[in-house]
Amino acid sequence: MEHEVREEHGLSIAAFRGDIDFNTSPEARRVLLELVENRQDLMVDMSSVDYIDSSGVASLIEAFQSAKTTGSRFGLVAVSPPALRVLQLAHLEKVLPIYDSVAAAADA
Amino acid sequence: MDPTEHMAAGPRDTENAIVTEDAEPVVIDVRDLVTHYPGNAEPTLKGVNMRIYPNEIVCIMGGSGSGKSTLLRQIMALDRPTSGQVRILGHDLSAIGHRDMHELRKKIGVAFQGGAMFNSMTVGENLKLPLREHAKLAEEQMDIMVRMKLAFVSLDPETALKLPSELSGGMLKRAAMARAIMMDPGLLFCDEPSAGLDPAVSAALDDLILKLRDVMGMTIVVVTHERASAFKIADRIVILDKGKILMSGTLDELRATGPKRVQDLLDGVPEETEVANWI
Ligand SMILES: Nc1ncnc2c1ncn2[C@@H]1O[C@H](COP(=O)(O)OP(=O)(O)OP(=O)(O)O)[C@@H](O)[C@H]1O
Ligand SMILES: [Mg+2]
Repeated sequence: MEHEVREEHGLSIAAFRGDIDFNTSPEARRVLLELVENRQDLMVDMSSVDYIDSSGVASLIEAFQSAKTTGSRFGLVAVSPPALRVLQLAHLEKVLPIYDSVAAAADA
Repeated sequence: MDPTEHMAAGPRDTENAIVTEDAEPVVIDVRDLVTHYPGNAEPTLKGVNMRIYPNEIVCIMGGSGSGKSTLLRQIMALDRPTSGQVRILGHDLSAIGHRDMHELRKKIGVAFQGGAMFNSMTVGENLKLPLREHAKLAEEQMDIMVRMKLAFVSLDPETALKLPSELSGGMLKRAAMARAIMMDPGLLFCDEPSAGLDPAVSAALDDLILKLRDVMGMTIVVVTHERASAFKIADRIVILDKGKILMSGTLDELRATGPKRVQDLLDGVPEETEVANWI
């Protein structure tokens, strides 16, 4: 898994690439929680995530819940089809804000 | 490359499964398996040959005492065979080293017939055991995973705080299923997952098994008496009878060409006893 953080449309974008799995999810969690703790409005770019397992999903949920308590925005953008299927399996697609693109997230 | 690598990575399993002489990838390869429990007059398994392929849901059916649980215990490496061979993800279980076995266990989820939870700890702690053994995750991450997996098996997330002794039989069974899928295993074994559950919960478990295969790419072996469930989820049904595989195939194949004993099993007709063997 690789990641990159950038600013776009006034949002922090954390883009992950590859697999968010048992080996890499602790790192994904650290990156996301750090951004949320800085009270930045955060969107996770999931377009290049090939695979996410339940530990990766748990990292997303933890960051989402943490953002709620700090009052900042948190959402997912351009979720790849395999990642979306995993989120749907956990019935999270209606709980986590999901946008087609960063622009759509900025407009929302 | 290690053939077991990326086993949890779902849809890519096929590329990483072992390839046999006939160029078909195989997850489990059972050859001439004989299991003779000490003290028994006859072997329980009398030369079983079976292959399980990536991404399949295979239901093992057969009468009580036919050897289903014994076969499952053998392919989970819980018991040693009297003779014959079991290979899982390319590893010969009779020759596997400690380290490979540990790696293999990480990729295998097991839901036992009886549930088998530690009564001294909460259900949540029981569910976290495989995570603690095989991964390095934050406590918060594990707590969320526990709640997620409990929801998968239609249990209230607060069940995590209870002791196993406070759960009903059906709830324990589902908790055992939740524990079996904590590590998103590539290979899942279930012994009678839905026996004794109410129809709605049982149907939800069937759906879960199908989704785990479709979404997470699991290969799933289910021992079951529940005919409706097997017909719904199985890609292939293996019929075990008196320690031998009577037949294996899709439901349509079994229906079309199975002998009377197979049809009877599929119809739930009890085995006829020809003689009064109890005198
Ligand atoms: N540990 C053991 N020691 C001795 N005999 C055993 C042992 N386990 C199983 N058996 C015998 O092997 C036979 C098959 O048992 P097994 O539990 O595999 O059947 P099963 O098909 O799972 O039955 P059920 O549908 O009732 O669960 C039975 O005759 C049983 O008594
Ligand atoms: Mg049994």
